Amino acid sequence: MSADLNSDQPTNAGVAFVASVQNKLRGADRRLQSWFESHGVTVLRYSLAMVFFWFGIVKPFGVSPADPVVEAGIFFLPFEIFFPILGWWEALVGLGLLFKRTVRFAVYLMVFQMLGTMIPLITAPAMTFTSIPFIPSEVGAYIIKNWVLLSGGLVVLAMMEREGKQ
Amino acid sequence: MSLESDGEASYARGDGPLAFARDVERQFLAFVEDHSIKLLRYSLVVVFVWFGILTATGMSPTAGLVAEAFQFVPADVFFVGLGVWEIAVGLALLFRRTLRLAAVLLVGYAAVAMVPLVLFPGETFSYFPYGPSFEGVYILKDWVLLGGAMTVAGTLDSST
Repeated sequence: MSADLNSDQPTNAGVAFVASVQNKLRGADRRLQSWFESHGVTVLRYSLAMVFFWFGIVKPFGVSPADPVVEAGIFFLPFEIFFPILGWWEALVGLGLLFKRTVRFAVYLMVFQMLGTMIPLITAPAMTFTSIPFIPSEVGAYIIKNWVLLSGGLVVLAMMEREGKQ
Repeated sequence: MSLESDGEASYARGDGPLAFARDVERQFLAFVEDHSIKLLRYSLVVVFVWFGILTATGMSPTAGLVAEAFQFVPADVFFVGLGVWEIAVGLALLFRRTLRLAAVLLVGYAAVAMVPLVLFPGETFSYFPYGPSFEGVYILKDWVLLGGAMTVAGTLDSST
């Protein structure tokens, strides 16, 4: 920067311009953060509730796309009985996530269900992978995304507990 | 201390199945409190970098449908672009300074990824509009990924 602060030299103007862009970016970053801080977990909670209720409730009514993988992956349980129960279970998780008082119960239910959804990755690799272990099939990719859903559920629980303590 | 409250205390400390369950719950909640954000953040990183590499190399099981929606872009160019975008989301989640950037990039990515729900309901739904197909459920899960990234981006600030 030139020593002459009152100069109209373009170099100075350039520096001021860069600084103002930086300031704007920093401000935007801060505003985004505070918006995410107050609303991020709400988006997360309701999208989890939607996914669980919707994809769960279709199972007992026979319109779920997941039956082949559940049937092949969870071969050790009678499919006819297990599949509708799984569906209602998931729907219950979805409903539970809607209410602050039942979030904890919902997340506990979810942990068991989620660990269960990982089983087909091991028991039915032909269905969940195109090439083990790096190239999942569509079904496999769908199941792997559940890691995010599970940890999302845990985060919702942690935030709710923290809110409850305050 | 009265005998009664003594009895209560020993009951709470006792090693019955109920006390054991409470203990497990307490440890679980402590774990969740300390580590859940980390878990969410790194599972998002893994999913985006991994699936991004698959998309960029044309091995993604799901990107084909998205490419069909953007036919004015050559498919191989589209795959590289979309894949690099996904990888960028994953990498941006690794650094605290770029967490908000990751969330913004992800909003754009999700907007692109959800186009097939509107353009190809025949493929993303088996029973429109209440019964999504596998393609459909896979895409709809992106809502959770978006919420997750927003939560991470709101929780961790760039200073620490």
